[in-house]
Amino acid sequence: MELVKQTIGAASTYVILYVAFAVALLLFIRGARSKMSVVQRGTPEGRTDRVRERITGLLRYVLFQGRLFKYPAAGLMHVLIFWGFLVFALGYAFIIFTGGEIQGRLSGIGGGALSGIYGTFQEIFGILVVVSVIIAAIRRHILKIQRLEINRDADTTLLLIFLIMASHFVVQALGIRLGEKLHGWTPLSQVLSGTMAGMSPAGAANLAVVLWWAHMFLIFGFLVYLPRSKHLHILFGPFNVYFRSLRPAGELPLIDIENAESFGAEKIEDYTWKSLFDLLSCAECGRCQDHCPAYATEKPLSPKRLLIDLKHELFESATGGDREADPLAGRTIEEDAIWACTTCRACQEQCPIFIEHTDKLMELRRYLTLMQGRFPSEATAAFKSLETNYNPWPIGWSERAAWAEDLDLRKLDEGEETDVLLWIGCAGAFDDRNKKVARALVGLLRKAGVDVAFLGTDEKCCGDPARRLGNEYLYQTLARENVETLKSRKFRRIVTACPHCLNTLAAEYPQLGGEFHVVHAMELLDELLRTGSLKPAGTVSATVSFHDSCYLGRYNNIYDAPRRVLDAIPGVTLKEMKKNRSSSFCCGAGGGRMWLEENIGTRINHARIEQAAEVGPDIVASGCPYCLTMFEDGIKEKEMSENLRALDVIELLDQSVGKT
Amino acid sequence: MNIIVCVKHVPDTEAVIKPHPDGSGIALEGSNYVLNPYDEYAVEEAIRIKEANADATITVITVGPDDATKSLRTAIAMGADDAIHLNDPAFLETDSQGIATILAAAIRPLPYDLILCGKQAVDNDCAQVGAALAELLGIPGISVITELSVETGKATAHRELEGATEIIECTLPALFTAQKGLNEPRYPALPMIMKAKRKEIKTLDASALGLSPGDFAPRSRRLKVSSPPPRQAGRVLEGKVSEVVTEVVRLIREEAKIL
Repeated sequence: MELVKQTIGAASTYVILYVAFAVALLLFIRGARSKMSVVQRGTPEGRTDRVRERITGLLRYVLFQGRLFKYPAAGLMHVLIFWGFLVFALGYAFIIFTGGEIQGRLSGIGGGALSGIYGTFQEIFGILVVVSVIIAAIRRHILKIQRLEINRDADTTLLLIFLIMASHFVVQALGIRLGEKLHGWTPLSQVLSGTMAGMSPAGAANLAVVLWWAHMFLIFGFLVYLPRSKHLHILFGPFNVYFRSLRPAGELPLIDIENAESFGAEKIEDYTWKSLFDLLSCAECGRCQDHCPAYATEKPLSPKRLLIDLKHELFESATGGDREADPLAGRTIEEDAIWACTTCRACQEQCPIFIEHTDKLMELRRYLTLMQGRFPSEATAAFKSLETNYNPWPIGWSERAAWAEDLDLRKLDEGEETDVLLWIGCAGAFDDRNKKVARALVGLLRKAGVDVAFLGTDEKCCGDPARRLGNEYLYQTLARENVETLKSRKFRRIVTACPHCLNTLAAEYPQLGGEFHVVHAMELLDELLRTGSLKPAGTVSATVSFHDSCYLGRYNNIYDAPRRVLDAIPGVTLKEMKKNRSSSFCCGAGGGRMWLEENIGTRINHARIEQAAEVGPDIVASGCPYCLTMFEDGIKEKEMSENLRALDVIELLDQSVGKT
Repeated sequence: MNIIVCVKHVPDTEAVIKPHPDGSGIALEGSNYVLNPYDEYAVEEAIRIKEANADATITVITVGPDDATKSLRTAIAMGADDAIHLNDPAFLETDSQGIATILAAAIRPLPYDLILCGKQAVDNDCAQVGAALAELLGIPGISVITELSVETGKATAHRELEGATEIIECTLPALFTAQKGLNEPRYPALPMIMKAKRKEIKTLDASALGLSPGDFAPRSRRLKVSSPPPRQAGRVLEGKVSEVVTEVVRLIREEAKIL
């Protein structure tokens, strides 16, 4: 910069610099504001509570890019570009605010140590950014990684960053050629300057001045370009992390049925401002799509596509005019895509900036179901049965306790008390296969001397299938009745073998005034093993792969308890599937999909069974009745019954404990 | 166009059916009641006709106890305009013929072009009310239809017979009873459910209809209700083929008494 000032004069340098900066800043603000204005069309939503937690999130997920490392290589690349960006941004801030380069400004401090450190950092990150940008281009154009669609936006950005870095290094190298002493360790600049030995000093000086300006104009250009590109995520991403949902993962927003006039998202403005902010923040990295079980099995749903399509709709609808006013569902987002989601939450778990994909689909389902009465026809039977028989199977409600008829299990009536209230769930009560699991659980709890009772025919479906299929009205009817029933009984805690019941009771009933201590059977059994109340004695020689159910793992963070239970069984060897824990792959039955036909693409349960077979276990174990059903069906349909069995972890433990 | 749909509030089809030990009737404690599934087809058909004819109105009518308003509200939530509840303790003791008489008394003063019923109620399965009502009103009655098209002054209906389809044309007003396959009944949208909750339902008893008990006295009487004999579990015969065959023949002769 000193060279520039010497060449064209300090005054003109500053005039050009500040005028250009002012214009760029103005254009940047205009771009950003026009984007922000569309966000304001959303409905209100409070996202400013728990400030400390939100700020911690900024450090963890923005500064240290916590979630990006779920893809180690891509994560490293991204963090290097990001940190490089920060180092360089600091330099530009010095130029703008102090009128001189940072090394020069800092050289007086600590005998030049500070400027040396900065110079070294700048050089290293500069090199790493160049390397990362080249790798990013290779990943897109040569490796053609599927989740990264090739688009001009991404290429423009990569090219801009590359040119900014290239001009930086050439200017540095020319400086050395002209006898300037750089601060810190600058190996690449040194090497580059070595190639310029033949250049005349005057030519080098002219080139340096031209390139310095080019560099600055590229920076300003980037500033102008940013709010107009998908690289808006640089600006909005951190805010999106700050305003992320801190509600329980499994809690859908409650609808005020008595007072609301419309339900769900008919138009883009029916989404909350945060939901619209998500759309602007998306960097289109495709990690969501990469983990989507619906996408992986050729359903017409991609969580990434969903965001992009809604974003386009957001901007198109903002232009106003007499455009078509058809609802989003069916026009912007295909209905089959809306119903394809299993609400497995893999997309949200992967998103580096905490975009909430699932809720967007849920609002579309709510619109279709509540406003239009339109949903896959199979759901009608489930809804009607839930209305009259309080379970999604076509079985009379008075049969709910039949599974326990010969068990002498105590029914907890109004006003009565127990330590553990066993919440059976519809699967445990009505599905023959899962009745066995319920019976095994009762047996284990009795052996452990637990004081246990159940609600018999007073229990009703928790409401999860209705809620996830968009039928909030039916959900609330069932949930309110259950909350009343539970409030009229005394118990220390509720235990259930169904992660869907667990999630609904623990995460969603508080919305309706039902605050209960709810644990999953895995947690209780783990505890009973730890305290020695249960002693697995018999050997169960088997290689077991544990499948993390979505509503157990991703939704309720229960990953270790089932593994500890399996570990406690003599003879069991645990073999993890490639996709495990928070990256687990859905069985296909969540989100009410249990009650719908799967007739597009291939089957999700088949895909998961194949993933299990890859690691060759004897048993695929889970802690969810839906998963168990899906795996049993999958194993049968794929004719793998000879080598693979599906069991609930409860049954495996029961086999071992029962052998004493 | 005025459409009347006659509906019944019946025990849910999944309800566990047990006769009273004394055989006097069926114990339905613990059953939930719903709009009769065949009547749902009738309501849905009426709504579809209304959707094609802006001036059409739909009135649903039921004979039943207090609780039967629930099924009327279901029909309103689906899209019916008005509901009439024929409610009198005396009505509960009658038979199909009596029910048709009560319905006819309620319908006569009303303007109507089309009357739709379910082909039968899934509780008693008598399948008589529709036909009897048409007779009492002196209008054509076409039963068990799977397709209906209405024009000015006439209607055409399809009836599925074994291996054939019968197409019938008749003048209006006329009565039709709905068979499964006529349509796919809709699931009510929430705003309609909320509206139906608040809808006023007109209630009429015997005197309001100008009926005296003798007018709808049952002419048939239920003597006894009993369960069918429980089905025995299948038996697997094992052993040599010749022995098994001998045993099968013996069982067919002695136990099944077919030969």
